[in-house]
Order: sequence, then C-alpha cells, then structure tokens
Amino acid sequence: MSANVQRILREIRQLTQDERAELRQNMKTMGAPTEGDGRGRLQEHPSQLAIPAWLHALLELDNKGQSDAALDELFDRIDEMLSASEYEKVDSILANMPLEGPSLTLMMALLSITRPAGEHLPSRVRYFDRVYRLCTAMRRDADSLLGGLK
Amino acid sequence: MDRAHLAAELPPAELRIVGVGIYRSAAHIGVLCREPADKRLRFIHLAFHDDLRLEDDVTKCFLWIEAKLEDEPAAVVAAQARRVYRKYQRGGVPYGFGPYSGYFGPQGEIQWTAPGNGLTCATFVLAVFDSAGVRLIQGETWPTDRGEDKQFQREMVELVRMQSTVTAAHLKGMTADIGQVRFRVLEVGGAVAADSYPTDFSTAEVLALRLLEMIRRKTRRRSRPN
Repeated sequence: MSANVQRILREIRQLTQDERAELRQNMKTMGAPTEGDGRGRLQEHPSQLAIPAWLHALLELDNKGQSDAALDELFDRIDEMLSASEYEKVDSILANMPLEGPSLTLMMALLSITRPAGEHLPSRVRYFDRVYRLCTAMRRDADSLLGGLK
Repeated sequence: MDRAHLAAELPPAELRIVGVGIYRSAAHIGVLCREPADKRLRFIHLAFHDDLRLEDDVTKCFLWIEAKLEDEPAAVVAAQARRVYRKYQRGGVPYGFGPYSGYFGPQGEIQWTAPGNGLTCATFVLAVFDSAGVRLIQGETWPTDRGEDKQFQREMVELVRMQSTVTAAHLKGMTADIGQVRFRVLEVGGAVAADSYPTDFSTAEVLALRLLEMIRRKTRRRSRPN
C-alpha cells in the first residue's frame, strides 16, 4: 500500500461518523471505489485500464514518493500532446485519471498543465470537481489549493 | 519577511521547495527550485532577450525568499519552472514589456498578443508562478505612470537592439509597449515575501523597501574597512 493511501486512510480513520458518511457519498459521486463496495482499494480501478502505459509508469514513480520526477515526466508528455494539438488524448487522460493513488501534487500538476487549454478539454471541468471534492474530503482547503487552477 | 534571507546569513541550500533569488544589485530575479535527480538547487532565470538560463551556481543570489505555499502547489511551481526551462532553453522567450495578462496559450506556448511583447526577469517569475495557478500579484493595482519605469524601458529597448537575434518587428513592438506597467524586481520579491497571495502594490512596495534595506545593510557592512 502506498504512503499516500496509508496517509489518506489515517485521515479517514480520524473522521467522525457524519464526515465518513459524507466522504462515502463524495467517493460514490466521483465513481471511486469505497470501503466495502466490493471493489477493494488495492484492486485496479477500471478507469486505470484506459490510461496509457507511460502514465501507469508515471503513477508508479509518484507512488514511490518520486513526485518531482513524475511531475517533470507528466509535463513533458502533456506538453508534447498539447503542442501537437492532440486535445482528445489529453482529454481522455483527464477523463480516466484515477483519484485513488496519485498524490495531490500530481493531480494539481495535471490541472496546472491543462489549464491554458481548458476550452479544448471538456473532461477537465469534471476532473477539477473530482479533485476539489477529494481535497474537501481530506479536510484540505480546496479553494486555496485549487482556486488558481480552475 | 521571515522567509526572506540574505545568502550570507542563511544559504539558499536551505530552501525547502520553491522561491526566488535576487542579485546583489537588486536588478535581477529568478526562480530557485530543486532538480529531482540530484535534489540540488537550480536558479532558473530570464537573463535577457531569448536567453533563458538554468544555473547550478546560486552564489549570485544575494538574497533569497521561500514562497509561502503549501507543499503541493510549491512542488507544482517548481516543476513548471523546470518545464518552461526545458521548453525554452534554446530560445523563444523574448524580452519585452507585454501587457499583464495570461502568459501561456493552449499549446503550452508563451502567449504574446502582439510583436514586441515579451517578459522581463520579474515577469518571468510571475509567469512561472501563474502557470501553476499561483497569482502572486494583483497587477491591476500597480502604477502605470512612473517616469522612471518608462526610462528603464527605453534603455532596455536600446540594449535589446544590440542583440544579434532581435528582429525589427520585435524592436518596433517593444518600443510601442513603452509605458506598459512595470513590475520591478524588488516588488516581485516583496510579493513573494508577502503573507498571502495575490499581493497588492502597496503591500509589495513596503516589502520591497524592506528587502532593499536588507541588501543595503549587508553591503554597507561589507564595504566597511577593517
């Protein structure tokens, strides 16, 4: 289990019952696996199957705590696609990027690199909302963290 | 101001994630961040027209300021600085006084609205932070009628004119942009040192003066005979 997942689980354990219920609801809305829903958190989320191999490798890097190297790789890959006007490929990544697993840094980086091309990326709004709700569920200040990335 | 340090008193190696470095002259600024591979500090700065640099040697940073950001956005700012460098290390960032607006276009390119637009070392810093969703300043609160700024811009046009790579169209555009708002080095440094972002002009101006005082105090001490 990655350090990130362990951290999130620790945070979840500290939540009150009402907050847990809210989190479960948020996770359901986001389409993420929840405790006891039959899709164990260690299973690969179906959305992960739709992401390219390089992104799997990058997520592994991020999981190992090498977020900075993962960010550089993510930026180069997305930059290349945006420079070639391959907006559909980038949009597909936004649509299928899992929420469970990647660090918040990586998610914010994806929002950051795609922001100038937002009008070409219909899935970006939903991805932003999913990350926003995750931040809220983690009791982080979502407005302060993500306000500039909308 | 507790995040602003003279390098002689606290070396920039103490930087946690991302910040800015300012030269002793108080006339140049760039982004300080770390390289993932060796975790060593790098100074990424727009040295001049079409001359974006990444320096291993940070000893010219007389003063440095850690940005007040949580770890995640700080890491994204640092990664954006490295990305912009990788993309433009062979040129493509002209020097100029483009209007204060969005800096990057849909293809990740630095966005110019007219020939002659470009960045200064200070607006390069603003652009890098902005690309990570961190708006450092409230640009609309900056004065646009400072005679000294116009004089500075005129002098810079003449310096850029001496560059072999500059085009006539760029020089014409730069000249037309004289009078655009100027974000001075220490004002941008002051903005980074502020307790919250985006910083308005009056706050940045006060902090800029404090930074200048830090530099002067140290340089006066240095020049005193033993």
